[in-house]
Amino acid sequence: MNDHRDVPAIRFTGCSKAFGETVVLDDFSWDVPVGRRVAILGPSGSGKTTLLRLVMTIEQLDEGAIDVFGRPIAVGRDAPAAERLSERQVREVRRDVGMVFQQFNLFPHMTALENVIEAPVRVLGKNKNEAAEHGRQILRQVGLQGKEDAHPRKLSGGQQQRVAIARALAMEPRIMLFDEVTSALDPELVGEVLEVIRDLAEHSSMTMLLVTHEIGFARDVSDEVLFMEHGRVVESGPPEDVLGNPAEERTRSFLRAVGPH
Amino acid sequence: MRIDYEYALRVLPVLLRGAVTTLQATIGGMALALILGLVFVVLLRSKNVFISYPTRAVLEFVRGTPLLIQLFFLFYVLPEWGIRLEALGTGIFALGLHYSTYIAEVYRAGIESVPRGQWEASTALSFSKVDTWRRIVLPQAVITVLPMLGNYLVAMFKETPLLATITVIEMLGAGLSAAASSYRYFEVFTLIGLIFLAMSLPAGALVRKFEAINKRYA
Ligand SMILES: Nc1ncnc2c1ncn2[C@@H]1O[C@H](COP(=O)(O)OP(=O)(O)OP(=O)(O)O)[C@@H](O)[C@H]1O
Ligand SMILES: [Mg+2]
Repeated sequence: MNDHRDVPAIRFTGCSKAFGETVVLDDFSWDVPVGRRVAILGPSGSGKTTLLRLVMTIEQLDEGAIDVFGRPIAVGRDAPAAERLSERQVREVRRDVGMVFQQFNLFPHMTALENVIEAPVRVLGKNKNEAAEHGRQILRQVGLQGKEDAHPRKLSGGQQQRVAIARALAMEPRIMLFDEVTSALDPELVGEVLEVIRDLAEHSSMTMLLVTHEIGFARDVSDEVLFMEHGRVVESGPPEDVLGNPAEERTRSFLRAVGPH
Repeated sequence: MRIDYEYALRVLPVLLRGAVTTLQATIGGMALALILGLVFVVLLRSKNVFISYPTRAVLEFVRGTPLLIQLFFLFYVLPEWGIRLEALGTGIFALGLHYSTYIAEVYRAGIESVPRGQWEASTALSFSKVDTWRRIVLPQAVITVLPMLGNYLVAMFKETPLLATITVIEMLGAGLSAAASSYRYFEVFTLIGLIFLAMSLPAGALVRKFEAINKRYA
């Protein structure tokens, strides 16, 4: 297993995905270098969420392959038997990847701390006290000290989303996927969540894929912007190019539509 | 009509012994129904139609026939096949089987009420299938359906007198044999009614408690 510098954190090779007649990803190929922060932009329905869900193996890939640090995590449904992945293999590779959802998806029957430590205890087999200590520390990191014993419904949307970020971080993933993590929030709560992600980007070396409609935020935290439409890459590059001086007309009209930044 | 209080006092211990059997039947029947219901719902959700269809047929059959007939069948026919259970055991089995078919549907509704996002978060955190069910889906499903389960518990409790028909000396059975010699039907049945009521009240409180838990987390 080569975990060499030039092995990308994520490699998409000829990925296709359709829901019935709707083609969502169309022969999508792309490498995400280790440590890169990519902002993914694109109009509604362009396949951004699906892209992340395919990496997370929540959706089944139709064709192509996705590798994480050089190890396959997903293959097309008609892949030859020799290439198919066992549940165990997928679980192993998937531990490197964490995801934060638009709708938080916290476990409502557990407290904030229980949400955070459940996976480290069950999946990584961590000792409960150790996990709890680490969990408290992560909750503090996202500004939620004192909320350890609160159930999700007692927390504001911004606090819930920060618990969800903490929950993903507790697994110590090397890759984090963020799917429009602020679009379900009231406007006044967006800032505190973006602040946590900014802080994370600054103080960690994690690879991050951030689907977002917040252009300003994308400009701040990313070192690459990918603009996609109809399940294909329209253009990608440094934020100052793609956001400041896009090469493609479709990117320009999208940026005009979402407003000045 | 004169009420014979002295007789009532004398027959009370007999009835209370019957009440203990009633409780045993209810608790045993409910425990069995909760477990069998879980087995049924797993079979029902199987992707293999050779498992799910026959399961559905069995559930429809058990639900579509009266509990009384099932009791008689188990009590009189099983011994002919060489399966001997004591009367109370047969009664608990019949109650458990009958109610498990309803409880399977309750579980199913509960499981379907758990949002897809919960499954997705479980996948993203790499939970095993077993942990996803045990730690994430079932606890939420059960919290959702706790009030319904409580209602079935009360319903089953009130159906236990049926067991008297297969010679189980629960409250009704005890009362019938007492009244058969004393002819004091009024005292006996009034007492039975009061004891049932006295036991229903805490059960009702339990259901309300379940509803409160449900509101807190759902
Ligand atoms: N489970 C599904 N079943 C059927 N169609 C789906 C499913 N998930 C997504 N789609 C469709 O696939 C297309 C792409 O969806 P996706 O959610 O990936 O887009 P998106 O870029 O994230 O859009 P948005 O900005 O609105 O979140 C849409 O047309 C959507 O309706
Ligand atoms: Mg989306």
